[in-house]
Amino acid sequence: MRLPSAPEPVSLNAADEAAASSRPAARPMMGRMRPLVRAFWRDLSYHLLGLPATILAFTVVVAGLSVALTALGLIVGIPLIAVVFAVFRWNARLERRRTAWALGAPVPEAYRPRTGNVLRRLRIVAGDPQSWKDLAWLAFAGTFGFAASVFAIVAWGTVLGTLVLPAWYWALPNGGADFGLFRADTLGKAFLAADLALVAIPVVFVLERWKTEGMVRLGHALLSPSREAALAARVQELASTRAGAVDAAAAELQRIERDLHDGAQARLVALAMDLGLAEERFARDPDGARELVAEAREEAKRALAELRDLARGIRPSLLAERGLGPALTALAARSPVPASVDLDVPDALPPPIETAAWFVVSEALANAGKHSGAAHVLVSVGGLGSALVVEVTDDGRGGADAAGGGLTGLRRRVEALDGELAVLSPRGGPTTIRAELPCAS
Amino acid sequence: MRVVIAEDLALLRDGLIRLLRDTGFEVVAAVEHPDAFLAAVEEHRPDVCVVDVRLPPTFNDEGVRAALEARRRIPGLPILILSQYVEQTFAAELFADGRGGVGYLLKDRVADVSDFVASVRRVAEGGTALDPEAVAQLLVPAGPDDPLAALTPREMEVMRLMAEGRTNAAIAAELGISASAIEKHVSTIFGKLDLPRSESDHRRVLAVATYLRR
Repeated sequence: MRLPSAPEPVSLNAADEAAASSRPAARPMMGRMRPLVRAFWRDLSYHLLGLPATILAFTVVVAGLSVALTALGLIVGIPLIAVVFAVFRWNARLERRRTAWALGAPVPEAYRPRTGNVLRRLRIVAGDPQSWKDLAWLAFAGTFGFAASVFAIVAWGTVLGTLVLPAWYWALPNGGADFGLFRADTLGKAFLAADLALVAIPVVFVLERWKTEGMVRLGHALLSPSREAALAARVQELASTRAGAVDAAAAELQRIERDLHDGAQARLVALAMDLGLAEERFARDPDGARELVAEAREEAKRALAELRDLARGIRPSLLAERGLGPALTALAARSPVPASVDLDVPDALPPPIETAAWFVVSEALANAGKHSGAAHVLVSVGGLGSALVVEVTDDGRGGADAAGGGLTGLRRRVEALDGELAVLSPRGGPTTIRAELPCAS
Repeated sequence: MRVVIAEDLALLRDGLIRLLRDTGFEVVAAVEHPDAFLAAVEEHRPDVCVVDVRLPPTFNDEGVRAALEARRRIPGLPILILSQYVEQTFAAELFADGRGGVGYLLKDRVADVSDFVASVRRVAEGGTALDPEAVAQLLVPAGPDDPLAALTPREMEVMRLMAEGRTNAAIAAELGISASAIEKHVSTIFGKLDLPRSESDHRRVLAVATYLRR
């Protein structure tokens, strides 16, 4: 949802700038008002959204609890309770988003991982303190939250109605509005009431601010995981990405070993064999021996080339010597599919980030060359906030297998750095491989 | 002599074919898959097989397993295994049946064509060929009580060459001493290691190989 707020001053030309600077008083005033107006809309929208949301929460809690209590102890009750839990979680997720929106910051979610059969899962969900905190918030939102939302809407409605009372006081059934101290039944008294409403605005605003702030904080406290749970979730995530990194390293080692075995090592054996045969032949068949020596020399050259390629695969030397930009440009120049680069590489990237980015591009280009049938590839790299974004898009036929060996290896490499790898490859293309690598520690 | 080769890398397969043809062997089949190897062996009944340890599909030890299976089907079928590195387990498995006609060499050995060819022939004739590298690993005494520790340096040398699978004559030529001197050393070694004596070179070598793999 977009909030209507005071528009940012946009200077179209110099004349506008001059006009703006000729109203020196207005700008600080507007500058001070803007956050207040924004807060007002934010609070009001929170409660407007709150009307359906809290009614929903109330229904979910009442219906859910009664279903769950009836189902307790019955065999058929188990799936019912599972459904109730699922609905609770779904509703809590909605509330998390509403709270996050009012807070202007994400409300993290962390539940204990559910594994095993239905009964085990149910036990895990029931034993998760977050489930009960969710329920507490839903119960609170369904009751007090609803009242608070209604109050906010009625309060602001009354203020607005009274502000414009001079325009409609006469239409009231008994000739005017009763304010206790006086009856606004003449135009003058209606204006007096409007003045009072004007005075009430800051009062209502501050009250609403406190109330909303309190509710949002309570929501945040109940809906987001405890420090302990958040840490546990983080540990779990780190353990899995670390295992992924170890796997990736092992797979990489295996690949290197295989490349050595089938490549350079085999060539050297063949070369030794050629030389051995040549030695035997020299006496009786000098020409044949010379041919074998020439062949051996070719094998030696190929073995050297393979070793060089392999070394480059382990640690691209240009990357170490010149940095990411030149290394990627060189990589694109070697690409089997013509590749253009659009690089905006931030300075002073951590070396692991550079290496990961290099591998993403290298693997994506190799894939494009092997599978996509693409005629052109675009490599773009740039900073996004504190992250480095690497994107490789080809115009090929798409349908890349994100679970394939190469891409899985890349994903692990990227996730080990807390990054994310996305593979978008609908059938018919195009294929985009996008890695986001956070650079700030 | 008729040979079947099992090697998955075309480069090395072609090299082996050329080398063996050049040195008077008849290559009756050269295959890359273990299944094709077993079929070729049953069809041709070769005098000797040269098999790479790593074969498809997983490239781990398919070659060794294919060799063991081939020897189960055709007892005593001579097989020389080629490997990129020495793996004692593989050697042990190959020598486990106590029959001769088994070899385990590093691929590097093909560079010494005459030595390599001699090894292939020895295996074909029911002898053994164990890579010097593997022998070196096996000949380290386990402790002061190990009978190996009781061997003199000269006896150790003889032992090493015997473990590689050489005959008395070959050992004598290698060390530049007389055949009768070798026979004396061998006799002492067998005494110190408490091995059954035998007149045949091959049986003697096999006894040594088996002893080392206990």
